[in-house]
Amino acid sequence: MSEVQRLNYTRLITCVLYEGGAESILESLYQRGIRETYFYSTRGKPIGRASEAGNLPEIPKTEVLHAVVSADQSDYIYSMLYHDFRLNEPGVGMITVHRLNLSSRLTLPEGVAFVSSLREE
Amino acid sequence: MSEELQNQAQRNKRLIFDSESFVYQNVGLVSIARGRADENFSEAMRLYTLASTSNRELIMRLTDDVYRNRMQILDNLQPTTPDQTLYKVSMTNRDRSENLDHRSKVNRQLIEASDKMLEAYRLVKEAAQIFSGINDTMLEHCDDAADRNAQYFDGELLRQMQQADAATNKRRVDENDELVAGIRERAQGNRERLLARFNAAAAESESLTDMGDRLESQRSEIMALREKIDANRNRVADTIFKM
Repeated sequence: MSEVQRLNYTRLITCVLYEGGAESILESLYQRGIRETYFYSTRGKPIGRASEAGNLPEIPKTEVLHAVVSADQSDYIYSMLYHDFRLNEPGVGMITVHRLNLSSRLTLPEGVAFVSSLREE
Repeated sequence: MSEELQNQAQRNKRLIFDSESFVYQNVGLVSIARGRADENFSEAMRLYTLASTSNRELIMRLTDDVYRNRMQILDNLQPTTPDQTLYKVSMTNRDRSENLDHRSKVNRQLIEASDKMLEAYRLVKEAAQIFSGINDTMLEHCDDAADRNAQYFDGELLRQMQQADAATNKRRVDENDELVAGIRERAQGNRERLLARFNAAAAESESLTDMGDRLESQRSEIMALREKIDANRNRVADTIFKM
């Protein structure tokens, strides 16, 4: 079994999106070759917003997206997400960047391909 | 000796006694002010070295690496049509020119920095010349005083005392009066100048501390940028040959 390559120049970008929209961000990142991404929906309420409307619980739209990018990509990806996905506007969401100690590339076992690469063919 | 002259001589004695303390306090303050200036000078030289040598060397290597990465990225392009080939060539030329343009602008700023250092060198040389002049004046003053000591010791002082009369004493007391008044005025002016320099040196010291903080933070930024460029180099290197 080959040794896993460890990268020490990666950053974790996290977006909390109160109105959702993680899928289109994922698409945008994918177009730039960034595949180490995932998101999930969350329950709860953003600060200052009611958790229920008309005595019915609010359907949560909040999504949290994580993307691992290379250190040289992090600044422009951060800037792109911040401006293109309106994170610079109030109430839309927030974005953070953290330095990671070690990361490894997402590789699949031999003979197994990414669905996306099959689609490209 | 008249009572009036005796009073004047006694008054001069008091004034000289007060002035001595004032003048020697100024001597101490001059030493402190010069020490403060020397500290600031040393700090400024440390910051100069930090900015012009350490940080500059780091950023120079970053600039080389960032354009080396760029050239390799362009070299990796595989054009398939004449238009694409022309795009690759023209983009390579554009990036080389961009680098050269940046370097030539930086060179202009480097020349300005060198001019400032020449100016600083000239000012330091001028200060050294002033110190040398002060040393010459003090040397001359001490030489004269030593000659006079020898003459006084060999009987001149005794001879003058034996020849003293009311008129010469009056002349001497009046001269002393003028001399003391001059000393007091000059000492007061020196004190004001010294205090102004103290304030200036304190402000300069604060400004140097701020500059030091800025240069330290610049170094941190350079190191962060190094990581970014290295990450780019690693990704580019993988396109040449994956290891």
